[in-house]
Amino acid sequence: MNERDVFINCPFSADYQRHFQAIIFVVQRSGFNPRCARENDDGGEIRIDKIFRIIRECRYGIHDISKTEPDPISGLPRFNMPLELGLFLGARKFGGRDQTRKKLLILDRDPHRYQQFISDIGGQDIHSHQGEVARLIEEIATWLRNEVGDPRVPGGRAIAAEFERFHAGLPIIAATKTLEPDELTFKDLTAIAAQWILAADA
Amino acid sequence: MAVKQSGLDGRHRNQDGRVSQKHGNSRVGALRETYGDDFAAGHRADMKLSTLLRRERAPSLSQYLKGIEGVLGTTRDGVHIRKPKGSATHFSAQEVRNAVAKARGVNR
Repeated sequence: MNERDVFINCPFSADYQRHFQAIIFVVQRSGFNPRCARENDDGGEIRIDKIFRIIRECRYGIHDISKTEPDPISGLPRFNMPLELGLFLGARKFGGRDQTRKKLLILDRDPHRYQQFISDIGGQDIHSHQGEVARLIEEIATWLRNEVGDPRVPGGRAIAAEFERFHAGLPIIAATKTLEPDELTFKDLTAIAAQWILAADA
Repeated sequence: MAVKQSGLDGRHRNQDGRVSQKHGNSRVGALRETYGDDFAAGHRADMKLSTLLRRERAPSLSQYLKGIEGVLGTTRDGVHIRKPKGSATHFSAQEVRNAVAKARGVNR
């Protein structure tokens, strides 16, 4: 298990893209390595096996279960986030001694809303971001900083301000390869964010 | 991190050539001769190993070295930024650096 790897379990839909980018950014800015099901495009690996592997390798997990609305096309809700949260909790419970050290942060839109649709997770570390990117960053930054107890990691509001500049720069970065920002892959975003953060000090 | 030959005039060395963890008086500058110029980037060359380990919250030199494996660089405020898993899909490493520099220049 990698002590600095963070499993990101969140929606990948277009309306959550900015939130997803924000999670990647704050995890990297806090000195951690974001991991998610989108990190590897290897079609030879069965998706659920890939998720098992990534969860096993990550000490930390960030789970945003806020998206409960039905898919506009199918009319059905997406169950991947609750499934992956369950897998993470299962790994921690049944995965052996090392895996019991796993830590997770669960995020929802409103406090206590989860009690209406996934009440069994009561007692976990559940925070609300109210759908706001800045609040999401602040919650994650505070949690990660508390986990490692490292005072050098900047506060959530400072990271949120840095993210706004990063987000404004993404169209310019994507355009250098004649891409739109929404065409950037997870691996593109992590490479760009890491370089952006380090370039701030150049 | 590449290990260079020599460093502390042969003093305080384990059999594998690395500096013994118990010598907290070793200086960062001397350790850079062994562990490379990027060892403890952002810290002063005259800093004692014991001070470095305390600031980095590492219980030992080996734990510190393990912790910085996979680090791409260190921010001015001292946060180690990890190397992302795998390479970018659409960019080479140089293209990422150039694109970021361009975007930062435009945004200034």
